[in-house]
Amino acid sequence: MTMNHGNLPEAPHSGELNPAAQENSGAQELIKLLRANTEKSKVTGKKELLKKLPGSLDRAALLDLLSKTANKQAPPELGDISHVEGQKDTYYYDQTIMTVQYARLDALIQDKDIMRTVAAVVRSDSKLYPRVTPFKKLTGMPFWCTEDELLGVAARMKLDEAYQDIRMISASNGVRGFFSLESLSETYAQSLFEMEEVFIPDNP
Amino acid sequence: MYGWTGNLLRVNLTDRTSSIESSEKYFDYIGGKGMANRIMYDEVPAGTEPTAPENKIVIAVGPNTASSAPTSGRITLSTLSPFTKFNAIVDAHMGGDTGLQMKTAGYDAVIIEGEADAPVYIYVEDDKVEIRDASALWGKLTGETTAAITKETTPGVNVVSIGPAGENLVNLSCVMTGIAHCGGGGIGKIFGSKKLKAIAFHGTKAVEVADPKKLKALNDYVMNDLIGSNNNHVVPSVPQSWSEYDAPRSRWTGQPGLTWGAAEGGPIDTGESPPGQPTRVGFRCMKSVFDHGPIAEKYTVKMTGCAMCPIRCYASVNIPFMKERYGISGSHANTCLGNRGMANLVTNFVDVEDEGDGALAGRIYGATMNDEYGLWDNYGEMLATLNYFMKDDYKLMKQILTEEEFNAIDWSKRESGDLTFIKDMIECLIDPNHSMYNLAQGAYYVDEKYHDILGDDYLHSQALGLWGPLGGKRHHGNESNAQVGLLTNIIYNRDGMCHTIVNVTGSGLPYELQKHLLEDLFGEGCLDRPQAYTPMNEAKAKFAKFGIMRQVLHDSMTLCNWVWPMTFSPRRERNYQGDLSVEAQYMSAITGQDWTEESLDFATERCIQLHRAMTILQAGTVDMRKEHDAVSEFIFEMDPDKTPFEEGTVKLDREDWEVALDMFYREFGWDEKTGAPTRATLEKFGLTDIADELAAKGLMPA
Repeated sequence: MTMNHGNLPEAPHSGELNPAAQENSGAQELIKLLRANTEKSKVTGKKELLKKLPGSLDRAALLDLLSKTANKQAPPELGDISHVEGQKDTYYYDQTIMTVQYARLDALIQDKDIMRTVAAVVRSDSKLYPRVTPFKKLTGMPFWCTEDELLGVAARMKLDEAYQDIRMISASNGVRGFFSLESLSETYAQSLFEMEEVFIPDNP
Repeated sequence: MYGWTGNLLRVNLTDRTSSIESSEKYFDYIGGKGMANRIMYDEVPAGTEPTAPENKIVIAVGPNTASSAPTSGRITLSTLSPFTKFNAIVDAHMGGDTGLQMKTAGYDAVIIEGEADAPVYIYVEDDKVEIRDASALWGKLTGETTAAITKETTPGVNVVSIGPAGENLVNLSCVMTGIAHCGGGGIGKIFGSKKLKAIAFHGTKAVEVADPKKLKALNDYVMNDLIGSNNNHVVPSVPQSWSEYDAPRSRWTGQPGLTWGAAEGGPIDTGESPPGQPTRVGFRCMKSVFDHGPIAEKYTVKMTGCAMCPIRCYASVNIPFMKERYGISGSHANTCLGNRGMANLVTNFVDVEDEGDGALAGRIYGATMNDEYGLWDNYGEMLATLNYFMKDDYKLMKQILTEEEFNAIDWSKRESGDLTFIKDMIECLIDPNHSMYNLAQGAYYVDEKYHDILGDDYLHSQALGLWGPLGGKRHHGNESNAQVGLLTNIIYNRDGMCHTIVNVTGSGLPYELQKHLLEDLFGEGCLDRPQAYTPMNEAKAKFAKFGIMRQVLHDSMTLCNWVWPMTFSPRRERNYQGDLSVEAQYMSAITGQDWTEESLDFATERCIQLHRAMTILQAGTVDMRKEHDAVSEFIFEMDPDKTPFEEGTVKLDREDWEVALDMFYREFGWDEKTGAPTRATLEKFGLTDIADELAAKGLMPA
């Protein structure tokens, strides 16, 4: 079964082995770096790679290798490398270690657009599971937003046409969260949140 | 013989003798709960009072126990319920090391009968069985008792002990083992009534399995491909690089940067534990933070748990300031509701070193007090009852306590956050000469005692949260897939404790994926969107039956129903599909017999039919539908602004609930009018003798 993962931005990803590809040390150096970052739960932006070229690769060789990962002509070592398109950059990761869902999340984080990140996560949670996104999700790994930042996001979203579906609510114990009106009505969201944040913790 | 030991140990406390008999005639009931229930049927006549010497305690394990199968450390203690209507058959399910030690001592079951004339404890070391004087232990807390018996016997011994609550015949009393693990159901009172302070096991024998290679392969399969975290939550609580999904309420809470902060030698990072890394499974459930919040991280020594369990759902914490501030050790281990204890008797908490540590200290204090006194909270009912009586400025409490009793309690401690208020209350609750003692007898008996001042409100109230007026707490009821969850509650003579359904709904997987996987098993419409349920249907009835069946199977063979069944998998390569054939594969590998899912289902259903028939016999009525399965009024009256089937509520519809009962009864071959097994059903499962007894007593449906 194929799941629709809500509103997280979809991006093409490659990674099928290309048996015709040739080994080269530049590719090995690139994959070593990308894998190391992936193991640290991080996607790697193209801009970052160009800023600090991996190993012996020059700019042209790096761009050539990266373009091959996108059009399925990558050398075998790069066969596990995939990418997602962010708003501000293209991000690469080892798909044997990281899921595309997480790569999309980290791309949002790397883009450093907190409103877009929060909206994407909230819309996805509301549609996919369905559930309200508690602040604690966004204040924890891998987002590490502060409570004040999230309150600021909520205030700014009210004024931005692009985020009119996002609402902030509170459970009866004061815990805050966001949901999207695109998938949940206000009363349904309130009941889901009350169940998650009050009833279940009291009845584990 | 493989899997089973073939031995029953019978200990008679009246004449202080013991004997060993064959357990083979009970193998049709698998073991654990099934075996213990059948022994109770055979040996304890219907109508027996729970505290009469004729009542017995049967402690039983199953073929899986101590076999090395993951989560096979649990044990069942069966007796007659002291705290629910009808005093019918009730089981306490307990973790820890008791199952391991009892099985390796050589016993499938221990039958404790009679009544000692003075306090005793039973010491079992393989074939050696001694009934020892416990006069010096009577009155001691469970921790002291455990330490004393360990000192008197042998290192490594497992002690199952009651505290002062059981000695004083409090209905809501338990047994404790390993200081952390509780067996509830009022079993502590039955120990106390027999003047049995404790039973201690030390086993050195092997558990023989038929096919060790197959068993090892199954263990590897479960550990690599099927098992998740506590409640078999199969996605992590925060987004992790290897995972497609996350769920903030998941018990898979281990994550990079979250540590066992007080671990010996320095903090240990729980990290990522993706599927396929079996040695990291024990880092998945960071239960201290799940139960207590982020403040618990710095006090977490490690996660612990039962013998043979890789999940480690017990949070072991050490809070140094507890000793100086409250006079008790800050070392404590517990899980889930046990970690709440009686903390919420106090309305404010005073922080000591950091924000939030006052509430944590309250929980540890409350849980420690409950455990030490051997008081059982009936899944939060006792706390709910106390708060019910304390609301509106202690209105009801003032009515039931004498003026002298009321004035002797320093109620100001409650609001000032003085945790010793919890101890004060517990000492009243376990004192037979104090009026508050009546509030620790279970809601059914509280209502019976004080119905004139409570009216009909208390027993049916949402604040109390019983599944039904019988006295059992709603334990994963209609909040878990509406009718399905609630149906799993009504079978028992206590709280349901059935985790099969809630493990599914709480798995963390998206609803559509859960639905897809379940509809392959039970049919279209078996699973509703959360808090948006639809009318009853046959698929839901099958799902509810599955929930009960697997719980009883796990309690019988034994595996932990807080983790099993493996309905889902954490592996995306499997599209998250679990494997429900694993239990039968384990039974075959361990016993050497040819078990299939179907044959195991049949044996399991025999146990359920037996339990139902025993309940009818003890209740003395065939009308289970009306007298036993009736549910609390709040189930139909909650969320007053919403109507049943409306999005955002699990308020049930009365007519639909009757349909649900019809369908559920049909699934089990029970008479639809009464909910009682028909003769044909009982005979199908080889229970002709029980059918005859029911018929002779006029308890067979027309």
